[in-house]
Parts: sequence; structure tokens; C-alpha cells
Amino acid sequence: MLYPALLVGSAELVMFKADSDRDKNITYAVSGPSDKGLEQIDAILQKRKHFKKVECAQPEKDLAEGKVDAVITRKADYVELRVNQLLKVATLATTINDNLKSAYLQELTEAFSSKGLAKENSQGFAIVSQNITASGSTQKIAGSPEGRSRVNKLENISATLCLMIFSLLMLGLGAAYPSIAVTAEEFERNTIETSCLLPVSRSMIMLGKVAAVSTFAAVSGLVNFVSMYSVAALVLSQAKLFPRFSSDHLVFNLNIAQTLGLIACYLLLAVLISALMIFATSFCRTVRSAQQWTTFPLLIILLLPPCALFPNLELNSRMMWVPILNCTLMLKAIFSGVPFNYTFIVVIAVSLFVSFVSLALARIFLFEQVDPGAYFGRKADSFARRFSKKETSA
Amino acid sequence: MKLHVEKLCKRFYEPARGEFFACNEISFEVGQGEIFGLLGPNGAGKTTTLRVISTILKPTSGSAHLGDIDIFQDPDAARRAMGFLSSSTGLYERLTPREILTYFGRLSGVAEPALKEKIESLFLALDFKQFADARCGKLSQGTKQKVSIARAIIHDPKLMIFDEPSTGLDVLATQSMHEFIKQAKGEGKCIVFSTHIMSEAEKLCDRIGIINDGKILAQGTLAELRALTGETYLEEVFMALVRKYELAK
Repeated sequence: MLYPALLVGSAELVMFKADSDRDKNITYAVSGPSDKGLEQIDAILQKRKHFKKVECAQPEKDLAEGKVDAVITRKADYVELRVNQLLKVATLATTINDNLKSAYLQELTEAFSSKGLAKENSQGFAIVSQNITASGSTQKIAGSPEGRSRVNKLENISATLCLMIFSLLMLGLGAAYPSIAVTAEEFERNTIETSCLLPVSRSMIMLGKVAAVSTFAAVSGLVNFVSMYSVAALVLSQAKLFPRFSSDHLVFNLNIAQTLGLIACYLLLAVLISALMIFATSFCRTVRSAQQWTTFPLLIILLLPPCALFPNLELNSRMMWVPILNCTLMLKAIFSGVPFNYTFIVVIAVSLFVSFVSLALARIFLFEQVDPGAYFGRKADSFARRFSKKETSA
Repeated sequence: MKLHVEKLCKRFYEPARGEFFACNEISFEVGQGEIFGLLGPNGAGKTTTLRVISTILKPTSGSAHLGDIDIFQDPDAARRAMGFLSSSTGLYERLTPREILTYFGRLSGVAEPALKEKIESLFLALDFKQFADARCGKLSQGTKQKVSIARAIIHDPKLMIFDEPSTGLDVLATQSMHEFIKQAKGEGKCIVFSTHIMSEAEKLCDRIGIINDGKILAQGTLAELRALTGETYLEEVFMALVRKYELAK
């Protein structure tokens, strides 16, 4: 049941992202002397909710500065649409082209025809992108709808990334049960005593526990990813059944850099989640109580990774400090082709630090057999005693 | 090798009781080839004392030395020289006795060729070779206890700690446990043994420490304890000492 649900979920997210891009307001200006043909086009565009006309004194300059998304200019025998490269140019171009070519193509054709324009010109919107350089000069990089570049891959959600992030759910579950086995179950079966009697340091035992749980978690997550990837690849190979999937918005490949990044992030997350789960179960003395104690942390751990799929949630100087989420955002960044930078180092450092602190606390609860309730109870008692003494002496 | 325990304390906290000492200034010595028995009722502090000595728990204060080894300063070295056996066998149910002995033997630093020989000799000595490759979860309580004994002595420890080892065992298994303890004594091991069964203490122990409420009320040979209290039977000796302590409190 999980795989179809995840497949539908990832499809919805892809469409959500695409719709979110499409529904953005596209501001446009009309440049040059107006004629009846341009006015007609203008009227058609204004009927679309995401086209917004703005008045510009210097449309070309405003376009270059990003104050306006597109400029429509009447040329001798065609209408030119210029869009800003700094914005999501490919999506914009696609959106405008698709809009003009599909839904109200007939209306446009009639409008152009009635204004004496040739029918073929009605489809001849030249999509021209500006590559704005530091000097402010502009350069044409595409000329016509037929010749326009394909949608920029970096703007799209990778299906592989979606599956990868959903497979992290299995990584979390893969860490939860072994972590209960190496902590609470050891107490329940009384095997913790025999572990404590081994002539090896407690830190080594903790290291062994986290290595075992991490391996189990990573393997279960990766196996899950591979199986989901295989199922999804098989289903999506029949793209005719899913017309929206066959669009350029869905990227379904995995290169070497992404594979290495995926494995690295997976291992990092496996260690981090295992350490957190071991900590969450370290003060439980029965499997039942451990299951209860792991419910809430597991819920948080399972909910965080899919959040990385939200549009516009990127790895930045703030998000890099949020454990787990930062790892999935790092993965997203790797999949988006973001080069290695300082935020990646911070993510790795934060993950390792949180893992270390979790394991250090777990070590105390496990091997010193500290009961947190008793520990804080004793502190509260001694504070109350001190307080009452002060009151008495006063 | 001699065990020397000096003013050992372990403090716990429970919301209902507040802070309390499970063992309070416990001191005793056990020589080579000697069995020292800690005799006391349930909750007297026997298990806590033995757990602290075996480094499972950290002491609140006090010291313990095994020969030249400071047990609390160098717990790894101390663990290498001691074996601990309790009534709860604490075996991994999915492993076989052979796997358990190999695992513990390796981690205890027993060399690989010697380990195989040692495991085979333990199978024969404790008479459970037929169960060597069966999962521990399927074994009877008596056989589990034998596996537990084998695990405790796989590294040939100098100090053996027995925490109520015969609890839950039938007469035959108890008898073989007693034989094993006597054999360990014969091999010159230093043995600390806790029990609440008077006859067991009387039968096995060279010296006995009567423990109650976390404190050792008296210790010595059975004859010395009899002389101290003027009673004949160990049960009466025990009761006399407890009554005296309660009155003093």
C-alpha cells in the first residue's frame, strides 16, 4: 500500500511545483508604438489571471533590471516576446507559448486575421531570452518557439529525489526497531549485564550498537529506494498512461555525482537517525515502553524529510542548522546541481555533532543505569530542600 | 590474587523513598581459594554490592582492588580478570551456546586456536555438548545456566562472582552448581557468593558476611559468628544480628 501512496504523493508534489510556477504572476509591458493587433493580444493576455500588465517608461531597461518579466514588441511581421533570464525563463517561455498556442489559439488567429495579419504569423511568437551580463548588455540566446531550449532541468523536481526522500521513511523505521533491540530489549532479556561485563570500554560498545543500527537502517532504506525506483521506472516507462508525467517537469535519472551524494547523505542520515533513536530508547527498560517512547520522535523524524520537497525550501544559512531536514535539503541541492559549498560542511558537522551528543547521553542512560525521572527528581528534591532551608533561616 | 573492598557505597534515589544507600560502607576481603558469602534477605544490598564490584554500576564512594588492579580506575583490566554469574542467565536467545562462547571468548581476548579447544573442553566439563548448536531460546533453565557458567569462565578469571546462582534451579542443577563452585575454589579462584539461603551459605562459604539494610552487620567464619551471637544455627545467628541492628537503629 505504501508504494502507490508514495507514487501518488510524489506525482502530486511534482504537479504542485509545476502549478506553483505556472500560477505566478507574469508582469509584462508593451513596447513601441501600439497598434490594433497589439491591443488585441494585450486584451487576450489580460483575461489570463497570471498575466499582469505594467506600464513602463523604459521597458527594455526594466526587463534587464528584472522589474518586468516580459516585454511584447511589435516587429515588422511578427510579435516578439522578450523574457528575463534571471527569472524562471524557461518556465515562463513555456507557459506563455503553451497558453498562446493552445487554449485561445483560435481566438488569437481570428484576432490576427481580422487585423490583417497572416495566419502563420499568429503562431509566430518569438521567444527571446536575455542573458544579462554584468555590463548590462543583452544577448539573444533563443529565437523562436521551435528553436527554444528545452525546459531547464534544474527548475524541476527530480522523481529520483522524491523516491529517495520517501525511502527515508523506511530508513527511520529501519533504525527504530533495531535501536529498541540494542537498548530496551537488552534490559528486558537481562543481556545488558553481560555486555557490561565484557572487557571493552562502554564507548566501544556504544559504537558497536550505533554501527549495527545504522547499517540496518541504511540497508533497509537503500533496498526500499531501489525497489521503489524499479517499480516507478517500470510504471513511468509507460508514460502514455500518465501524460503529465511525460512532461519536461519530471526528471528521472541518476548520475554518478548524484549516486555518490545519495550514498553519502544516506549514511549520514542513517548514523544520525540511529543515534537519535538509540537515545530515545536508552532510558526505557522494557520493549513496550521503548515502543511508546519512540512514537513521537519517529513521527518527527519521518515527517521532516518530505518537507524538503516543498518548493522554494532550499539549503541556506538558516536551514543548514536544522538536523535531518538539512541532510535532505543537502540531497536536494546535490540533485539540483548546486556545487559543494560551506553549507554542506555545516550540515555534516551538525549531523555528526547531534549524533555524538545523542550517543553520549544514551551511554549515560544505558550503562550508568541512570533513570532520568530519578535524576531530575533528585535534583528537584535537593532544590526544594535548599529552598525550604533558606525559608526557615529567613 | 586477593579481592579487597573498602568502604563501598552506592546511593540511589527513588521518588517514594528519596535518597538511600543500597550499600553503605561495605568492606571485606577475599583470599585466593576462598569463598566469601554475602548472606542477607531480599533487598539487603547483596546484588548492588556485587554489581558495583563487577563494574556494572559505578560506586558513589569507596574502593575495590583485585590484586594490583584498582577495579574502579581500570575497569577493563578488572573485567578481564573476573567472571560474573547471576540467576538470570542473560543469554541471546537467537544465538547457539557455541556462538555465545565464541563471541564472549573473542571479546575477552582469548586467542583463536586456544578458544576452540577451551569451548570444547567446557562442553564436556559441563556436559551440554549435545546442545552446543541449538539456539539458547530452546534450552532448559538448567542448560541455560550451564551455558552461562561456561560464558563466565571462558577467559579463566581469577575472581568469580556468583549472585544467587541457584535461584530457579531444580535440585540436580543446584547440586551441579555447588560442585562447580567447589571446583573453582579448588582451582584457587577467589569467590564471592551471595545468597539468601542459609543452608547454601553454611555448606559452601569459608567466611560469611551478614548484610542487611545495605550494611555488613558482622563477618567471619561460621564458628566466629556463632561465638559472636551465642547461637548455634546460622538462621538464628542471622536473626540475632538483625534484631540487634534494628534495636540499635
